[in-house]
Amino acid sequence: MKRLLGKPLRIGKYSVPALLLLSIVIGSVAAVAYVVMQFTLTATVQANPKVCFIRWSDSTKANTFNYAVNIFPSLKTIDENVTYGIWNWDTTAHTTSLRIETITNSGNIASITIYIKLGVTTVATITWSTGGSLPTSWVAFSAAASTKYTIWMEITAASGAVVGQTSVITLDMKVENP
Amino acid sequence: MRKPCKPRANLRLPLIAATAAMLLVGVVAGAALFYYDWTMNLTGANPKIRFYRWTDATQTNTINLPYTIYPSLLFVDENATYGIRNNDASNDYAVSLWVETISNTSRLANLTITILNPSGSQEARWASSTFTNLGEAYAVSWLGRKGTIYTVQVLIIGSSIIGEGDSVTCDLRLKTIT
Repeated sequence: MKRLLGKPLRIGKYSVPALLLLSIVIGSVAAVAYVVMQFTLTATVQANPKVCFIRWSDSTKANTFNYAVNIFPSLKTIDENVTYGIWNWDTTAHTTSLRIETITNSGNIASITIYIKLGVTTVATITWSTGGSLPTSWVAFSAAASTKYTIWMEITAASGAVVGQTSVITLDMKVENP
Repeated sequence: MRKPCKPRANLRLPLIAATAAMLLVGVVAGAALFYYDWTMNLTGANPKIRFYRWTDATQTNTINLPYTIYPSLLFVDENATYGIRNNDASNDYAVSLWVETISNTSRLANLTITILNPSGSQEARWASSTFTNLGEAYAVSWLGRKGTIYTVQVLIIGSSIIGEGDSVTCDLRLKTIT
C-alpha cells in the first residue's frame, strides 16, 4: 500500500504522486454544499395594543398597571371598580383572555375573584383559592369594538394572614389579533 | 588607447553561477505553472428546504414577517404566516437557524424563535434577551424530515424605552445542506 501511494501516476504528460491525487479526491468528496436563506422580521412599535387598560380618572391608555389595596385577616375586600378598566379601542372585536399568573406570599390569600363586567353583566370570571394551581387557566371573552369594561375585584385574606406582609398578585391579559 | 579591462578570473565564476541559478529558478518556476480549463455549469433550482405560506401553499426562498410590538409587552405569533418545508420526499436534511443581526437591540427585551413539528412539539428554539448570541456560531438546528412542514413561532418583548414608530429589523438566516 505504502509503495502504491508513493508511486507517481501519469496524467497526460504530467506525473502526479498517487498520495496527492488521493487527498484531492477525498477532499472533493468531503466538501459540503449548502444554501443560506435569509429572512427578516420587522417589528414596528405602537404605544398600545387595540385592547389595553384605561385609567378611569383621565382616560389614558396603559399597557400595565398596579392596583394596591389593604387586606385584613379573614375578611373579604371588594372593589367594585378598580382604578383601571379594559378598553377595546379598535373597530373590531378581539378575543381577550385573563388569568392569574402568580401570587407571592400566597399563604396570606384565601381566595381571589376578578369579574370583568360590561355594565352589570359579567363577561368573564377569574378565580383562585388556597391550594389551587398557578397560573390559572385562561378565561376568554370577546371584547367588543369601542367598548370599555370594568374590573371588579374580591380578595379574601386567610385567617393567618400576617400583618405587614405584602402579597403581589400578577394577572396576565392576552389579546388576540385579528 | 586603453585596453578594456578583462574581468578578473575570480569574479567570472560567481557571475556564471548566479546567471545559471537564475535560469534554473526561472525554469523551475515556469514548470510549476499549469493552466487548467474548467467550467462551472450553474443550473437554476430551488433548495429542498423552503418557506411555505400557509394560506396558499406557495413557497419562497426569503420572507419578511412584519409585526407590531408594544413597550414592555409580550407579543406572540403562535403560527407565523410562513412555515418551513422540506420538499424532498426521500431525504431528511439538517437545518440550522440563527439571528445574524438586529438593527437596534436596545429596543427589544426578548426575541424567541421556536420551530415546531406538525404534532406541536418543539424541534429547535433560538432565544435571547441579551443579544450576545448573534451569528452562526449560536445557530440552533433540527432535522428537517422529508415532506414535513414546520411551524415558526415568534415571541417578542418590546423594551420599556421604545416609542411609537420605532422599528427593529431582525435579520435571520436558515442554512441547509444540499
